[in-house]
Amino acid sequence: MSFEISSLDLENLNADEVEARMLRLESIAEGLNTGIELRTGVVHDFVIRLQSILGQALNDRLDTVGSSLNPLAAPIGAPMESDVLDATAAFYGIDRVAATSNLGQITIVVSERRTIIIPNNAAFKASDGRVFRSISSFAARTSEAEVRVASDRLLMARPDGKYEFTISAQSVDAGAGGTLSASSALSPSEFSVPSFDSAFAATAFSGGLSEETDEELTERIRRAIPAKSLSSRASVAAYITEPGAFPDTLAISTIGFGDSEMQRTKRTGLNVSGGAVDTYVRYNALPSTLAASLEAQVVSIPAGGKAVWQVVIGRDVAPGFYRVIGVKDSSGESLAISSFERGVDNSPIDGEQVPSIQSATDGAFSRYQTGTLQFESNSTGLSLGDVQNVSLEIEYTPNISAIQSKVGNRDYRFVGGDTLVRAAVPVYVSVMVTVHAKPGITLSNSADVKSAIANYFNTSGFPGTLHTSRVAGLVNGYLPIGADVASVEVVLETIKPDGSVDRRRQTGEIDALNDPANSTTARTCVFYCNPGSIVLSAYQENIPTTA
Amino acid sequence: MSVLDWQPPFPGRKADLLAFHTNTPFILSEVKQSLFNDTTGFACVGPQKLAQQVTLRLFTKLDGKKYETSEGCQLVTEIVSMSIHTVADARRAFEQSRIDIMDRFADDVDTDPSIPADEQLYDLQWISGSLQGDSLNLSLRVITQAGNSFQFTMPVTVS
Repeated sequence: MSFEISSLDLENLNADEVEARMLRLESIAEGLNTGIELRTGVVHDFVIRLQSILGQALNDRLDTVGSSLNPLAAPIGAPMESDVLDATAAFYGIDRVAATSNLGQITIVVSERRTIIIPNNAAFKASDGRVFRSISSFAARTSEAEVRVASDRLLMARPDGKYEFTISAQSVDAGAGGTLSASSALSPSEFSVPSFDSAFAATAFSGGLSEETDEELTERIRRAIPAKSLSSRASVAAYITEPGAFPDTLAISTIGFGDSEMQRTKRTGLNVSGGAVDTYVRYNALPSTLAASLEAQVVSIPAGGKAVWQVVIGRDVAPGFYRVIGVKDSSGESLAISSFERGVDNSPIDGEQVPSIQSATDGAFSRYQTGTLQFESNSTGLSLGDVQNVSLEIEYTPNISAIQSKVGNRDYRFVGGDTLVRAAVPVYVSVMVTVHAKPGITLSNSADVKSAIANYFNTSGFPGTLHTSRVAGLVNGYLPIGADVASVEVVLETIKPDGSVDRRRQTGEIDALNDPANSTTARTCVFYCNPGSIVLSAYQENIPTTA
Repeated sequence: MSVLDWQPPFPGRKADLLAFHTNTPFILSEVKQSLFNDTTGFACVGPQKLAQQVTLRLFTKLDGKKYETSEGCQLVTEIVSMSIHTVADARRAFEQSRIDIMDRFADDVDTDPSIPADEQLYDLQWISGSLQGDSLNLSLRVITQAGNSFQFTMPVTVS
């Protein structure tokens, strides 16, 4: 292996180590040549000194190569050579997770009924500067007869006399930094839309991954080493994340015999925890969203002119889902959810062992979970049993069903009991950071700051406890001299498996809820922080709110 | 000839490579400097070696030697930042630098008391200076602890 001098970092070496190396070199050279002046003068300045700097830089570089060749023995946080680490990971059949964009839909509203072309890669900007681009060219057509190819869209009339059409787009920023919640306003950037009125995210932009960091890749190498079988916690993780299976899984926590969170077996009446394993999975930095078109039915028409509609979410619609974010009727009108109840469907599945599940709580966030949602409308003209199609926006963790199938495979499953795969208990994090700045100081990079904060939570695995002081430290790293973090406040919203929601405000340690009777502890909870849930504000005369 | 076969040219002395020599290609091409005439050898000891070390230190900017932050002086720092407009400016910067350089040489003697007296700096004196366009000509005198005196001119061009 050879290194170009230009690729060596000569500017940021440890000065003490350079000096020590210089003294050693002087001493060695003096031993060889007693007649040469080495401690000052020309030979010192142009030979000894430069050689010491170069030698130290090479030494540091070789250290990073050594760490990259044997990352599990390297000190925590040791710098790595990414390409060497990639080669090391390849030895275990692991590829670094590449950055991917978040996908979503943009609805564009126009004031006139006319054909409109949206070019490929057309940019739409959110209010915080994040950019989303069309994934191909699209044409909005004025009649169905003109809609001929997949990228053609029919211009739909709106109740307000305007027209709209929807296109597919992706975020420019990968991972959590490129997410966007549904209904967020967008505006064309670098191009114009004829008769443009407004644009908004028709669905949330989600599902994108950040490029896997060296630390994350090292952790996956660590997980790949144990035997791939459903026995110990390490081997369960290795089995699920083995090459060809679900190597992108961010974190896995397994609950079993003797763990206070194991409630499934206690509900059999024996009050013991053996014979069952619950494996909690965090697959993505943030939950994904999908739009599901389902049938709603009128189930009651109580007095008062209202009709109660009911939608059943089957176990295959969005396996392991967390929550329903919104419901819209066929005209795109949002409907208020009046009730929601989780259920369970543990009917047999061909070729898989279905775990023993006694209650909806025990099946929550698993692929056996179902849901029943109700909303109300005016009852005029409706009778019991009437149906309509509605669109549900559902937040879920991908691959829960596929991972359940893998652990339920007869050849490989745990012979001493059953294994239930569940999406990790979600703790949604909102962060409020207040910055105190002197007059005249400009605060910028709010998108980068939010991304860094979100990344802190979203890459934490099953941490149990995080710290607001770390959040303050991250933000301070982006602030100019004269500006400092004054306070950090975090609001946690935990959806527990029994469906109840716990909201707490924390300003010091950020703890996962400890409710083992509800399978909600540090070993089952993960923190999800959407950059859109982070508010940065500054106070001081002439300092405006930055976001 | 291997390194181990090398014989010191000045027995009992530690010689420095003679860099400021008209026949020696020198890496600081922007600074045209010659301390010694063509007939001198390529190694030096005594006052010549001391004068060369003085010149090196005088030519080092403040913070100009990364990882050796005690080195560097005001004179060349001001020259490269175009702060020298008159001979008086040069004299003031030189006097500030002179103190720093005297300190550095005193430190060397503290570290290694075996340095010969004719390689220890007793004084560095300003003889004359002239400024013509972008050329600064300094005439300086180095006086050793042994009493030797060595006078030289430093024509410095900053382009």
